[in-house]
Amino acid sequence: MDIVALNEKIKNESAFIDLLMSEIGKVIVGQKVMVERLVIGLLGNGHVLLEGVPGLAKTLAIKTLAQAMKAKFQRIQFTPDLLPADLIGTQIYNQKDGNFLIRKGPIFSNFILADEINRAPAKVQSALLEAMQERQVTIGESTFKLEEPFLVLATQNPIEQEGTYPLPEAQIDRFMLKIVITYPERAEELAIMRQNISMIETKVNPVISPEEILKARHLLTEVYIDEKIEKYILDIVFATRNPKQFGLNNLAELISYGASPRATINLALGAKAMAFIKRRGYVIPEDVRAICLDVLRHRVAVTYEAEAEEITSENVIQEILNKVVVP
Amino acid sequence: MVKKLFLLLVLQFFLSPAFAQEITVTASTDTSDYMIGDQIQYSLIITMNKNVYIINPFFRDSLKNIDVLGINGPTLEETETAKTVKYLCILSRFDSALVTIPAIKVEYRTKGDSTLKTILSNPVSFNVHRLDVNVKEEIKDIKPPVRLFDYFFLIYFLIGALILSILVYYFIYIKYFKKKKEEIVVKKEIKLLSHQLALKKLDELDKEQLWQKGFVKDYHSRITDIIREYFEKQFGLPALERTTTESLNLLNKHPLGVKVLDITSQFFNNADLVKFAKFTPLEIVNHEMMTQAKHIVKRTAQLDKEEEVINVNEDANV
Repeated sequence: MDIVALNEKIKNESAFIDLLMSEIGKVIVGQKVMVERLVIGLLGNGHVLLEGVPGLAKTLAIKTLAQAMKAKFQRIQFTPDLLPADLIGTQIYNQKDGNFLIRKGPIFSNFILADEINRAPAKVQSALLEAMQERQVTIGESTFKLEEPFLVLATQNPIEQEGTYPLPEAQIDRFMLKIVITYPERAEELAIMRQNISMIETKVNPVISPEEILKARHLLTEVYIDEKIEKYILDIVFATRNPKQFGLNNLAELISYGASPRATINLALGAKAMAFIKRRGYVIPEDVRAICLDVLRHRVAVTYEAEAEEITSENVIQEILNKVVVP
Repeated sequence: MVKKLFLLLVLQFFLSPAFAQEITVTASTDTSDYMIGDQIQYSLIITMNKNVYIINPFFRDSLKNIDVLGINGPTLEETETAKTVKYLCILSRFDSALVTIPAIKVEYRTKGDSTLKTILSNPVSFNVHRLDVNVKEEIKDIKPPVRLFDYFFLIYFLIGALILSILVYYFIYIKYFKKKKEEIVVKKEIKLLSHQLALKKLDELDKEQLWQKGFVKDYHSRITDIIREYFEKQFGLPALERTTTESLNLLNKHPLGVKVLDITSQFFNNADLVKFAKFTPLEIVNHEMMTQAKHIVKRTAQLDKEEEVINVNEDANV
């Protein structure tokens, strides 16, 4: 397709993004990056891991997103005594007819907020992550496809680590993005305060249907990504694995292991989604850089030496971005 | 009387097996005359009937000023009727003397008799003598001193041969192989300022006529790379590792960069469209890109800034 026509098409089809953002903005003050990344996850068909202290509107954001999309939303509080059946559902014996009935769990929704995912034991995490990957759930002998769009937003509290079951690296790799939420700005906090004490209930109107999201996902495949951008993505990912090849000798001792091929895929997908949100039919290096930290921060592990020096994976990624030549 | 003697001989002949000795212990040395420090091989052989059991004799570390260096054995040899136990001791003495090794005591029992009996070996005597010294002769070296004269001669010869061969080689080289003196090429450094270098590169790019040959994308990549490199050298901005927006933000903070912010923004954005969006620009846009690039460089050039110079090596004949 001609790039001008494609650009025009994307511009028209992505118009709902502004509507969606403004509808969410009625309730969520600030946190633009978080909301934008949620939409990227939604468009890129990937799941999002959120890290932030309590009270930063994580639940409210995803609930509002669900309301703005007329989609089903469930919040599951992960606790140490949670069982996989509490999540995916179970079979119940019906005494009347002597048969087993299937009772579907809360996972059968469009949007799931897995609150404090690291509080539940590994078997529950596995059940959720398997559902995330396969997009289907098996209860007894029956397999059920999960309704699309299906987006899991898992949260981790970075403060309290006692009595938690940290997600293994293989599991954490399944999240397309990991977003670190910070406190709102002073002006934003003031607006939050005023909004919450005014007792005026803000109604969120559904502005987009799940079908439209699926259509947008399909359109996302048409967003043009040039060979130069692809090479740039590969350079970044490879620099996490072999920093010396990119003149980053100082990082070689700091990186325990680099990003997986899933990171490459998600970086490309995320960049496309970012271009779509910016209402462009093609990806530019800005899109890659904008999404890079969120895609890579949970996929690049730093060594003990780096931890001792208080160097995080984000510092490492930032240094890579500062060194890899932009096309 | 003769009859009695005859009878005794007959009895001796017939009864000798019945009264044959049950065990014999024989000690001996390999010779009876040793020099000081020689190894003396002292052997103890115990021959006994099958029904005799001995208690191994005890050898001390030294025997009457004789050092025991080692004991081999016991080794056992058996026949149908008898058995022999052998000990071989290696002894040495470091003083001259006539030495007698006393008898060795061997204890034994016979089968069916619990009585512990004792038998002694024979004592062994031998002489340990000194080295004979002829005091009348002069004192002389054991080995004559090593004479190195021959080796020195060989070394002198080799050094001489080497010098000679070098001279011969040099003579042959001078006469037959040495070419005429080559012209000395001196690499002269021509120092170009960053803006001069950028303009030079832009001219070279223009001469290549990339977009005219259909390489529009390459043309836009190259021209933006030249400008980004120029920004790095001129303003110290890491423009090669930054996106368009980031570069413009950095440029906005620089007093000289602000002068070309708008035109640079247009320049980079046009190039981005070609580079990343498969956009085919009009010919006039390609022309305009070169004009804009030169304009950006000329407007931001700092002619008096000597420290930001780039060294370029160029060959020149002297």
